[in-house]
Amino acid sequence: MTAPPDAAVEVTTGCVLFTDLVGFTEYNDLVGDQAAVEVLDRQVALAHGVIESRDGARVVKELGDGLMLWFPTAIDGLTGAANFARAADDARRSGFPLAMRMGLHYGECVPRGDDLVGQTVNVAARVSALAGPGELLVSEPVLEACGPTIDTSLVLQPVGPVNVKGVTDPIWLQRLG
Amino acid sequence: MAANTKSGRIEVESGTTVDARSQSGRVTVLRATGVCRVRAESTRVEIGASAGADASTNSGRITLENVDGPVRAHCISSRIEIEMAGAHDVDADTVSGRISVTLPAGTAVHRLTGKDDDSPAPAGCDCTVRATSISGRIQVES
Repeated sequence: MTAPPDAAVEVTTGCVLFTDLVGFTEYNDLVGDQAAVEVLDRQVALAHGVIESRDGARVVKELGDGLMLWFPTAIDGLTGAANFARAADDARRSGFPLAMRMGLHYGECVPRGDDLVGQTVNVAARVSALAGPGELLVSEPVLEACGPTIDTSLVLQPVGPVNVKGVTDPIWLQRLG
Repeated sequence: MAANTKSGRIEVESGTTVDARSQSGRVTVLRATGVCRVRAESTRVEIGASAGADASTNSGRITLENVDGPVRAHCISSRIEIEMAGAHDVDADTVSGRISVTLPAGTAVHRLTGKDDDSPAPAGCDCTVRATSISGRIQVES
């Protein structure tokens, strides 16, 4: 159960995408800082390539070896995340050394400067942590908000209800196949 | 079937298509008639028999036995051991863990050694095995 937002707090609704480079710490240990930073830069470049054509989408912040992205609509979030996953997969086949895991969730967030906070952000981070290398997990609220406008070329496979730490009710997830 | 846990163990005696996710609880699937997908953080993953496997963990060992379908396996620092029951494609990678792939005797294997190696399989090959590791030893036998 999600508590209703405080009426006095400004909220914005959209999609939060978290990404994470799987095995970054071990990779950094093996190859050194310079090569590791190049990988981080490449991840940011991939992200910008995805969001540049989507109004209002942005990289909210870098989180160590991961990113937090914002998309103002569910359909932009889903399509953007799917494109990001494809771009990461293509990059991997072209020599990018690490796989990415991604999690996408939709709901209300509270702007805090350039940052966004709130349970939608927390859940998106948890969903991302459940993803495997090269996997994009999408929560049911994203798909509900997209409605019939979902890109039919996206092949989503049900994962089932998943218990997420700190959230009372299980969240239904689908994975991009 | 789908199962997920933070720290509890997941054991599937028999399933069709399996999706199991665990942070630290060990995951064991004895038999899956379909594809078995396991995502784990820091625990061991064992799949006894399946029609295909897609397994990943950060720090626990991955053991796949008697797999009769395509395999994807990803691990960061532990060992991946794959024993195939048939000639199917394998994509396995680690950062620092060892990889061992055993295919049925006589299987003609097209072996790829890098993620960016997309060389086509020569005529007569039964399957493609891509096994990559930055620092771990790789062994492919048939």
